[in-house]
Amino acid sequence: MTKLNQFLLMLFMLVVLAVVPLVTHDQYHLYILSRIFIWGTMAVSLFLTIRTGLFNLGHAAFMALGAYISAILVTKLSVSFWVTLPIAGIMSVLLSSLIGIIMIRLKGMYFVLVTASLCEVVKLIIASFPKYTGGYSGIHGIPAPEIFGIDFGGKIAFYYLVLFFMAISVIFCHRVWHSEIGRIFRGIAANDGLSESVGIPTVSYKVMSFATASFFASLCGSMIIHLSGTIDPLMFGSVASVNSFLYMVVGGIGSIFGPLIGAAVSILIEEVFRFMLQFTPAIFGAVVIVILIFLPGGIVTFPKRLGDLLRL
Amino acid sequence: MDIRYLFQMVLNAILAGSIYSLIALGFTLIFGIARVLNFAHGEMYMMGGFIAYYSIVKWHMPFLLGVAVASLGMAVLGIALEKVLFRPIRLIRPLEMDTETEFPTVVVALALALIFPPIAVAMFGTTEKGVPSGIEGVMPIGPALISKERLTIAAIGLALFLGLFLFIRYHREGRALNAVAQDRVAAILQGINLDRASSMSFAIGLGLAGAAGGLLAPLYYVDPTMGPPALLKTFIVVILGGIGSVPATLLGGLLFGFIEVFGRITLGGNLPMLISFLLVMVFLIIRPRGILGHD
Repeated sequence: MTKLNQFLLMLFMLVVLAVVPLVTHDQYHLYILSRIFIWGTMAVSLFLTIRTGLFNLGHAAFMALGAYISAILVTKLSVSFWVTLPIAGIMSVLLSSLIGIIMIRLKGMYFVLVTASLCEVVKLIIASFPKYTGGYSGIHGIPAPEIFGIDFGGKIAFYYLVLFFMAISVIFCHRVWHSEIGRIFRGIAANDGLSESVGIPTVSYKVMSFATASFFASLCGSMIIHLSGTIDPLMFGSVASVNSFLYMVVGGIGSIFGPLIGAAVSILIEEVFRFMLQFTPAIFGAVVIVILIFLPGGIVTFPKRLGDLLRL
Repeated sequence: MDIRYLFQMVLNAILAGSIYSLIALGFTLIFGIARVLNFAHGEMYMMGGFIAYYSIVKWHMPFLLGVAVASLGMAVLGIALEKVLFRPIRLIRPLEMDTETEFPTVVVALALALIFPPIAVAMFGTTEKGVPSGIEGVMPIGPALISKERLTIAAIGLALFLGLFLFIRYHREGRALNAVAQDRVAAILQGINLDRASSMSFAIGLGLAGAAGGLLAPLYYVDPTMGPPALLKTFIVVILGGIGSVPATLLGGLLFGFIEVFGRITLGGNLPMLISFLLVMVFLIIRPRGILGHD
């Protein structure tokens, strides 16, 4: 696909998504789409770190950070959503840089295990301070954001807010990915030592990639609690991290739009099989394995795969 | 602190530590030989617990036989999973990336971790199940009275660990495993069958997880949600102990056992877990490859 075609396709998709609320007023549809936008942003930002060669399985730890900063400030101190959002973002950049500097020195498996433990540990920390975080029962009745008199509590207004947020985030990640920095990220993933030897400060770039992803994760956290209206630590355990990772893989890690498509398809699958109650995760797990076997490059490679099959 | 109480706590710590090191040893074995980070390892521990529950409570087997059945059952499942899923998928490479961990197998392991708990719920229900070991009575050791049940479990855990250590160190097949873990290419050139070694690592790894599930069943309840916490503990033990050294895994496991047991009585709640994680981070800053670990 040429650059222009890609741009036009993106624009077309955005326009289609923008007119959805005019066509359907079904709150449920808008809710599902809003979830897709938030989790899609999670998956796209995770994509940046994974493709830098950092096997991060604790992405939701920073989602929890952003979510709790927002929730506590909004409910306990009545701070506006528009103030808490940047605070959550800045805090997560600071903290993730600090943690990143420590963790990025870890090699291979140790990095995976520490990041995977990190999200569970964050969950335990949250549960250990019930005075501020509400413990396992969480915080309820998080008010909807408001600006210029538009109440974002209405699903339609909030839908536009989340759509705008996703568009900005994905465009930002896309620009980073196709810039000099993105090329360095790919270089580090392809060969860490070689990148170092040609003068690239690999540790700084890894921390940059990790912090950028965490920044978006924390904003996603702030968004999702205003969507659900409640917050509790179980929303952000390893399940959330694993989900954002699997959404990314389902879509495909060959292109930056893969994770977005993956999140959309996965959440739709989950919703379709919602009637199976506790079996829903099992169905999703089975779908992941099937996709990995038949479409190793993810769903984004499906058109190409189909073309190959038809030509035979 | 009362000396008898202290003695009891030390035994508890050794017991927990030896079982954790069994689970962690299986995890590192599978990683070292089959190059699979088995994120479904906690679920395997959970399934082991349920098989033990069925064998002991429903089919009235003696405790030790039930644990053996759980272990064997999981070993068979391990071979099946390796042959059907992990071996073919190991060859899939979506992208060329310089990651030490094999990307697709991690995806499969994560997917399996999603698949097993609902299966457990469907088969065994959501209620917690108690498993009686049938071992009763206490035994005086020094100043303290120790329950025979706990003593037996700790002894079996340590015996299994020692047995595996000797197997890897001295048995022909075990030394083949060690060779693969150290240098895959050299091992293949020496005529070691890599597929066979991978199958065996899965059989042993899941067998140990199953045995651990069965062994701990009389002390804790068995329920479908016990996988993820066990996995987190496994991670901490693996990081503390490092990869590639069997004694270091035991050391890591015992260290974590002591932190957990003594942390729980002095601090309570989630704090022991957080302290061990902090300890892990400090360890990793000083020694990025574990206590005794090397490449």
